[in-house]
This record gives sequence, structure tokens and C-alpha cells, in this order.
Amino acid sequence: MTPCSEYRQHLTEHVFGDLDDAATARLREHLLSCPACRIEEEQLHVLAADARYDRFEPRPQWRARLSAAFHEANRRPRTILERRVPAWIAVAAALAGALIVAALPHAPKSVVRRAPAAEPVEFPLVQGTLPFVIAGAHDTDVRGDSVRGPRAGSDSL
Amino acid sequence: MAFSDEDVPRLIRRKDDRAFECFYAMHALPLMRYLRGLVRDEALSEDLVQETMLRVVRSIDRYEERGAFRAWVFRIATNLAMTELRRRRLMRTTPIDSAVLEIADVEAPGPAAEADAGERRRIVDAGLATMPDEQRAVFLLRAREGLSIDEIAGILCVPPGTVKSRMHHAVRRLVEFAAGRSTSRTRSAGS
Repeated sequence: MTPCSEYRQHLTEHVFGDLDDAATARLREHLLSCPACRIEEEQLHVLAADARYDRFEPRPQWRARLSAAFHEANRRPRTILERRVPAWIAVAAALAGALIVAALPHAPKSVVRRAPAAEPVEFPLVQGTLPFVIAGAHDTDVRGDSVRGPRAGSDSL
Repeated sequence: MAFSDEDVPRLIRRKDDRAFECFYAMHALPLMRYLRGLVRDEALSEDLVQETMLRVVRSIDRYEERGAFRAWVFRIATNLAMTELRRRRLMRTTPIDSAVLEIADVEAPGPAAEADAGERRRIVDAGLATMPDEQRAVFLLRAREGLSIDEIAGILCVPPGTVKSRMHHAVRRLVEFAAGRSTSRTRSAGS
């Protein structure tokens, strides 16, 4: 047997007319045999009626103020941002954007030409210059000639 | 001549003289009623209705006619109200829940008063103040304005199931709030 708590889960939807027909029929059947749930249903009907009630009376000045603001806004021509963009313009803009995006990843290849891998260039070694250029480097062997950088202990120079 | 909901955007687009009358009669009052319940501030509600109306007029060319003008108007109003409520909450120094409860205590009926219809309505209003904004919006749109679950789902950009769940919790909260009020009233009368 379905407990009352499960039926009560649907009471709100039932009272506000949001429950489907089959569930409403099941709930009604239960309500016939359950006084406690009937009381709860009655309370919710009262609550729904109270919630619908409205004491609101607009002030006359408010209506006048709204009217003035409305006519002011409606007289002004609408800017391009406020207008609805025609469908064909939107489609064209989307296509153009897609084409630009599609073209972007290929741009470096087609626009920027890469130089072919360079052959190693051999520079003639001028005695006495390289050690200054690579000051601080360890012993380096260039083209088989042994060129020594500054050694530890030679910093005093 | 009687106008339908979809006549309003057409009249506004054509800049027809009857556009305001039509908008006011069909939407201004329900909007004001809804916003008063949502933000609980008369002057702010008036400002929000005006801002909603101006946004409707300015953006009318972007409205696509699918028979949902009322829902579109309420969505604009809800977004404006929620933004304002969030802004005010950020500026507040006291926690929102205690602040809201203070309002509820002030507006609740006195202990010696009879539980007639007027008082029950005041209890509903006071109970509404204790709800989270999203729950209150759902309850007001469904119970007070009579919008459908699907319309509310469109306005709040949430699934219909979420709307039903929020509605259920809002009603439970109101029932419990009303029960708490009657208990405290009985205790006060007995002491």
C-alpha cells in the first residue's frame, strides 16, 4: 500500500492543476479513504486562494510616469544594436566567420615561408678571438682545434 | 477593441498610439503585483516595472513572435529583479536570512488577532519573505500570476522539473510557516 507521504508529495501539483490525469485519479481515490490527506488538501486550496488575492492599487502618478517614459522611449529611433538582425545577414556573418576561422590554422604555412634547413657553416677560427666570445664556457672543441676558455683560477686576469 | 497578447509587440513596433494603453492594461499591473511580491519594496517595484517596459520597447525588434510575449516580458522583469536583489544582498552587512525574518516578524499578525482571511493573507506574505528568491519567484508566477509550469521554466531558464520541485518546497515552507504562526499565537493566548 502506498504511504500517505507519497501522495502528499503530489498534493501541490494537484491543487495547482499541474498533475497528469492518471496521477490525479490515483490521488483522488486515496483522498476518498484518507481524512488526514483530505485536510491537507483543503489547507492547500485555502493557501492557493490566499496567494491569489491581491490588494494592489496602482498610484495615478505611477501610471502617468510610465506613460511618459514609454512614449519617450518609443519615439526614439532604435539603434542598430537594438534591432533584430535579418536572418540572411546573420547567416552571411556566420559563414564569413567560419571561413576566417577555418583559414587561420593554415595561415603560417602559406604566408610565412620557412627557409630550408641550413648547411652547417664553417667559420675560420681566428686565433685568440673565440675565447672572448665564449667567455665563461668550458673547454670547447671547435673543428678539432682545442680552444680553452677561462679556467678556474685565471679570473685574476 | 480587445487586444491579444501578441498584439502588444506589433503595436510597439508600429509605434501605434495605443501601444502603451495595451501594454499597461495587459502587463504593467501583473508585473507590478509580481515584482512587489518578489522584491518586497514598493518604490523599487515601480522602478523595475518601468525599466522592464523600457527594455521591452528598446528590444522589441529582437522579440521573435512565438506566442510567448508575456513570458518574455516576465523574463526581463525577473532578470532585473534578481540582479537587483543580488546587488542589495552584497551591500547588506547583516545576513539576508535574519534580515528577511525581521521583516516577516514585523508584518506577521498580532497574537490576539483572529485568523480571518486577511490575516491568512498576511501570513502568506510574511512566509514568502522567508523563501529563497528563486522559490518565491516560482510561487508568485504560478500561484499569483497563473503562468504555466512550462512558461515559468522558460522565464527562469530551468527545466520544468525544477519549477515543480521549487513550487513544492515553496508550498511546504508556507504551510510550515503558517503552522508555526498558529502555534506561537496559541501559546501567546494561553500565557
